Amino acid sequence: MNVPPEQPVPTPQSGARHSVRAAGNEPMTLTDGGQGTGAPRLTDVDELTGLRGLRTWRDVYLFVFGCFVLWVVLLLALTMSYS
Amino acid sequence: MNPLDFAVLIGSLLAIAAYGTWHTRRHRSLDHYLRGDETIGWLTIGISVAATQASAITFISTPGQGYESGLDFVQNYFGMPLALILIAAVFLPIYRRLNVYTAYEYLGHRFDAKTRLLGAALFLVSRGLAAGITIYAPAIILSTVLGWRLDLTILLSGLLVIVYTVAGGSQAVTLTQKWQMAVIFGGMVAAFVILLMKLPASLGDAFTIAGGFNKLNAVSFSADPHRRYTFWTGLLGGFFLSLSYFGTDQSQVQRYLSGSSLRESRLGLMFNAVLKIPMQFFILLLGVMVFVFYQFEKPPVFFNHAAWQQAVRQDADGKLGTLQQEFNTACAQKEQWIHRWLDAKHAGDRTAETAAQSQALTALEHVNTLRADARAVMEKDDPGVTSNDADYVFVTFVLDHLPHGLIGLLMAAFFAAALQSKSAELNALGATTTVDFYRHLLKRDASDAHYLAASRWFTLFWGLMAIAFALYANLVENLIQAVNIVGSVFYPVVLALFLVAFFLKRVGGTAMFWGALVAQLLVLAVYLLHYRFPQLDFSYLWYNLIGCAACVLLSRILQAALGSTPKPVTATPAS
Repeated sequence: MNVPPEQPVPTPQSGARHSVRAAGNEPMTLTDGGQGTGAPRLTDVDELTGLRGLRTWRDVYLFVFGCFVLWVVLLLALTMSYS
Repeated sequence: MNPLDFAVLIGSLLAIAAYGTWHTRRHRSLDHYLRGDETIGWLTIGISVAATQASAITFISTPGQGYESGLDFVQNYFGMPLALILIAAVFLPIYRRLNVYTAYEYLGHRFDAKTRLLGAALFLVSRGLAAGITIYAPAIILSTVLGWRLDLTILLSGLLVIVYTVAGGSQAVTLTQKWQMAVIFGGMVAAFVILLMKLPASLGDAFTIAGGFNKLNAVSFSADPHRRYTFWTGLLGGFFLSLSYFGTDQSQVQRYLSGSSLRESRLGLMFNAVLKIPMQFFILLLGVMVFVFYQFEKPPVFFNHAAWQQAVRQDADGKLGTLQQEFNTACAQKEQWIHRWLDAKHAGDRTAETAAQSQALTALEHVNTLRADARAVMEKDDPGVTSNDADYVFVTFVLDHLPHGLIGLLMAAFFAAALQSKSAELNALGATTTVDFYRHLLKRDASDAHYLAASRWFTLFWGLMAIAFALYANLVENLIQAVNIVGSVFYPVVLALFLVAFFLKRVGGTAMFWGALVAQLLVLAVYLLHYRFPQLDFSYLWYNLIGCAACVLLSRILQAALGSTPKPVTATPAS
């Protein structure tokens, strides 16, 4: 039942640092984002968000988390106002 | 409904279906059929992901939840933004790197073929069941509204979605979803505006009434395990439910993998992470405002008109007629107390306001008791009758109180919502059957055209299966809860398969497979045993945590028992 081996399987620990087969319109190589090495070792345009004010994905995730906290606080305020 | 409503309903649905079919009629390859157009941007992906999750049940049943229980159901979505962040950061890059068609291909790469097949099979079972429920929901509405036969309505709605999904594949799903969402939100926003205009009270008074009747309790930090929706169940259970649904359910994975790049897919997910909670809040608030509206307008004793009329005809003792009269009187008394309550509030008389509010609450309890009595009589006269009418609340309001034209638009919105989620489900079921079973097990070296044809046939097969299931479904406690319960029973183990795959490198395929199988049996046992042992009747959202934790632990224990660390598993993505 096992399928023939061909390539290492990425995990969150390994995937960002291994070059793997090109996938569709994906780039051939992947980046580590340049963290800890000074300059990017590999190129990957997908790592750039292209958003003004939210330059890195970390910024985007923090923004989304902030929105979540804001919604919860507003809903809590509504609950307390009318309870 | 008048001819204008029928024109809006039929015209909009057929136009969208024809548009999707025509624009996607030529498929060059299996890749194009399963992934769609590679120029798809983040907004389209975001809408497609939202549309796949938001079925007719969302727009019919959720206002009913708001009417009955208030805003607390919104907590169900608290874990979703966090889950989507994790998926965007961890799951998505791996899927894209491996160039997989289905999420379960990854399990084959990481573990082995049997674990991949287990994950795919669990998806087919759970999504196949849910597909029947999602096709059943609009059929109930239209059969009630139009007086059509239920089986005929199921067949017509099912066949329409099959036609354009089989013909156009993933791209047709995405294209039609955009327009269907436009119809849905156009209809829902218009209904909300008309509702506010029809309210005899100001918006402030409406919120006072809703709050006074405990309909605005959106957040609860209660630790009671029997309480279904709390901050904790929503954050923890909702997190795991969302993680498994968005991260491992092929109907969602296929949506965001259709993006032209990782960036577009990620932003599409983040679009949903930001907007889902306010969207659900808006739909629930719509239900709460319908509740306020019916404090000034006498509601029906039972919102399913057809079932009520049939029960009255069968009621030889005339008990329902007597209850109807008592109900009318109780509603009138309640309305008087509400007016006194608001008058006292406007006069600034806090003591009189509190006293009138208390009397209004007592009157509301009396009204609810009479409704419960009526349901009991209906059930006694006909044990097969469905006594839960929450799913009919919003539809009844639309039909009885919205202007013609808008009624047709709302009916089109409900129908469109059913079609958009149904099409994504069929697309995913067809893809998984083709890629994970047919191509992987039965026919490995056929041509691309052969797999394209097979994918179409499997999509057709699942469409017909969903219709067959819907024909034999009964109205369960509440449709949206039923879908979530089915998901909570099957998703946690699938999620655990992926979590172990991503984060526990030392667990191999055999330990994972048997651990998952035992964990799935455990969740099923807990679910079934709650019927016999009421102490096990805790919120179904906890199944997500229990099943997932059990599966992870069992796989670790089994791997330790097996004694050896598995070799790194390697595989070809196209197997």
